[in-house]
Amino acid sequence: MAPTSRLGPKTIFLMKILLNGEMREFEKTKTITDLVSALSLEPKVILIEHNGLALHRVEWSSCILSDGDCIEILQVAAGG
Amino acid sequence: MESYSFGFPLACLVLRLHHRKTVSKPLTIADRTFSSRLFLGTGKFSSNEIMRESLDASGCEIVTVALRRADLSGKKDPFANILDFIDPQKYLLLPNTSGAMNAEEAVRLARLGAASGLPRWVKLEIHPDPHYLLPDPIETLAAAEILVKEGFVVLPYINADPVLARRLQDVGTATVMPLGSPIGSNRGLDTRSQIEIIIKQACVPVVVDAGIGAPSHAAEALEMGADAVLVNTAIAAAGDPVRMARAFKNAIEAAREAFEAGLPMRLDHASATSPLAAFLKSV
Repeated sequence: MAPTSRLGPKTIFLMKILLNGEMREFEKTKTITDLVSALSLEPKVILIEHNGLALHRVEWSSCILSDGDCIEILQVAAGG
Repeated sequence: MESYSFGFPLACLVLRLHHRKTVSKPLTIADRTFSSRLFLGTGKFSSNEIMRESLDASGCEIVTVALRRADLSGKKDPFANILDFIDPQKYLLLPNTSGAMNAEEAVRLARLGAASGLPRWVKLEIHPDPHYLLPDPIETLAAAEILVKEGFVVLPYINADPVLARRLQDVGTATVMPLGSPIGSNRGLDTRSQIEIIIKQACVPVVVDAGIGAPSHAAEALEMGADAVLVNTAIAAAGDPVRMARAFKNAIEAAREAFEAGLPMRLDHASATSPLAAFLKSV
């Protein structure tokens, strides 16, 4: 049975994240790895900044997300 | 039939000619050595396949890429897999900081690139004005100081300002990259006389970046003594980018060889190449 809170079902899992300048809500995203997976991104080409700090790839799985976190996701693109 | 015999001095000359250097001096930046003096940008190619072929035809060893906000819309981006088309064993990937409006943003981009596994090299470019894309010298110097202290190999894109070039090499940048003319303008070396001063003063490699629109522009830079050039639009936007890449390769190799061979002095008067015909007067 799904856990509930006073605010209704599921809200216990909802997390607000400022993602690339836009406020978004996510469910069940505990780590950066979960977030990458939730967004269906190809991990190889993306770069992630968590609250202003550049993350190494190995840190993705251990970086725990909190409500209100600021995440920037960049990707390698063509350029001169 | 008369036979020719080479005397000792002539034999020595033939031997010297035979052993004369045929390979141009390599380019050294920081702790790495490159045989190509062409950097190639990856923007504006019509496909990743054409880009890969052009990289190959150009003989380049340093390839720039940009970092930008990921598209989270879920739409399929045909250029998203660009890294699959650039062999990291063959090319040094040089991330740029294009899009940064100030030193802080440029430093963040450089750190992000390094943290994600890209080389700790950065083409530092900060150009807040979208019309001319001219680099901000104050922010560039500030970012360079920070990044050099953090161990980055910094290649700053600058206006052709000899004073700024010296300040940057003094803080430890690995090169200076003065522009010939605005990015993508294909106007060539509008800043030629300033670049000449930068080359005279430089103790780090000078890479002419931006505005190079034809192989002759690249050759002009190399013949002046620039150590390398960075080209993007002229190749990517050519009718046949692969052939244009090869044309740039040839022009750059020829110009570097000419520079090393020693170009003759320019004169403001004639200097005869044939004996002046004195016998006609004596008739």
